[in-house]
Amino acid sequence: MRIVVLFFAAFLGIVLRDTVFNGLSVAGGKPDFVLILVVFFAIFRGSVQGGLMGAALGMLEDLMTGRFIGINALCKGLLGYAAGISERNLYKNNFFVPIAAVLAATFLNAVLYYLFSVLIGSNVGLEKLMLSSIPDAVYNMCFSPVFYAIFYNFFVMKSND
Amino acid sequence: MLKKKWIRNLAVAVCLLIIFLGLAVNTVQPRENLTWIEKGLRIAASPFQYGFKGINDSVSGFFSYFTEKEALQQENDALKKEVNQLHSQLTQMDEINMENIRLKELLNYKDAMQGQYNLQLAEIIAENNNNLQHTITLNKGSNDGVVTGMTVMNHSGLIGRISAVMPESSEVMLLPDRESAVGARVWSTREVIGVVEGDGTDSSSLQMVHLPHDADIYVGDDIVTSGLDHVFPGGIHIGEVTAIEYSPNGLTKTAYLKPYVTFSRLEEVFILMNSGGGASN
Repeated sequence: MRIVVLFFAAFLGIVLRDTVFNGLSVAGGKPDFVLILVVFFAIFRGSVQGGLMGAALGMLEDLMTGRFIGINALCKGLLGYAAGISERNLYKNNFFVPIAAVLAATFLNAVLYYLFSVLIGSNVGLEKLMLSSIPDAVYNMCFSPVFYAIFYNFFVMKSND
Repeated sequence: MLKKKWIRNLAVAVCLLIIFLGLAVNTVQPRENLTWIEKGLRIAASPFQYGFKGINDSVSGFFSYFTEKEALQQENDALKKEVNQLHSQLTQMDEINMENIRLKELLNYKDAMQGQYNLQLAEIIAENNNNLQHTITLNKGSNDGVVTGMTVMNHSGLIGRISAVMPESSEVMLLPDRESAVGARVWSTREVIGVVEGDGTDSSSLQMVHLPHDADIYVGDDIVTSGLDHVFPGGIHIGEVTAIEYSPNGLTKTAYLKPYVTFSRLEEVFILMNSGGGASN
């Protein structure tokens, strides 16, 4: 059930990003809800599940909006895996953990996107990608506490009950 | 057991990597058609997109209020600046238009007087009007052939005479000056000889003095130069009689004139080059 909710949340997040947040775009930046979901899921569920969920939600993003199918799946899959590695080491009650994780993930996502696009022969320009990541990162960080609170409620509070 | 699980995970990861890379490489070229799953997802997203579009419009409208306000403020400032510039240009155009009308009138007058007078157009470059004196400075001087005593007039009538000459400019004593006096007569009857002078205080009023008590002069009569003073040529219009006043002893009377020339609005004038030449001050 949680997986379905997560997929639907990602689905809505993609639609929201391309509709509502088009009008709220600041310096060309828009929030990447899929990235936030993947990172938080991985933080609570570990690298393997995080990687798989990242790949799945990335694929959803590719299929809904992507030009190259598979790029976001690869990026988000690796991001999920990387975020999941920290599952045991992170102190999940700290408020700054989600913000720092999402900030790092946004820039890592840009680097991975660049690397994979070069690999498949479609250079998008690293500098441009990194510059456009700055407003994206700010947006993502703003939404992080809200999403983190929801995830915390789902994965920590409910499992304690 | 742990190693086996790790190997299995690695194998899954490598497989996924290969699959996704393969997909990406295959889709890097522009495609004509979307896959059925892409179409399905996009069709499913459409109702949400339509729904969110309304929110987007409202949100955009809310924020655009602030951004547009700033843009409108800037536009308003720019337009105000432009209006000021245009207003200035319009004033200049009016000025040019007025000058054009004046010059046209002067030119017509000059053409009409071609045989009678040798007229030289001059521009006023300075004015000195106060209770003590009424003079103007013209941009023509001795280098242009101007000499002291020459008559100055325009298409409306007599203005005064050249009282001082410099190489590049000359000074004109206006009719309202207290030192000014000109021999005059009634234009219609060519009779009644008198002297028109200014009282030195008001440039819009002249007086014709030393008139006999029975002189045939009435309010509304046109007064012109008589030419008998050998300073001003005869027949130049001076003004219109507005009032007549008898002296206390009843022997003489004074006619008050409203000059045809508006001395406070002079811009360009004519110098009669063949008048009063060489007359010493």
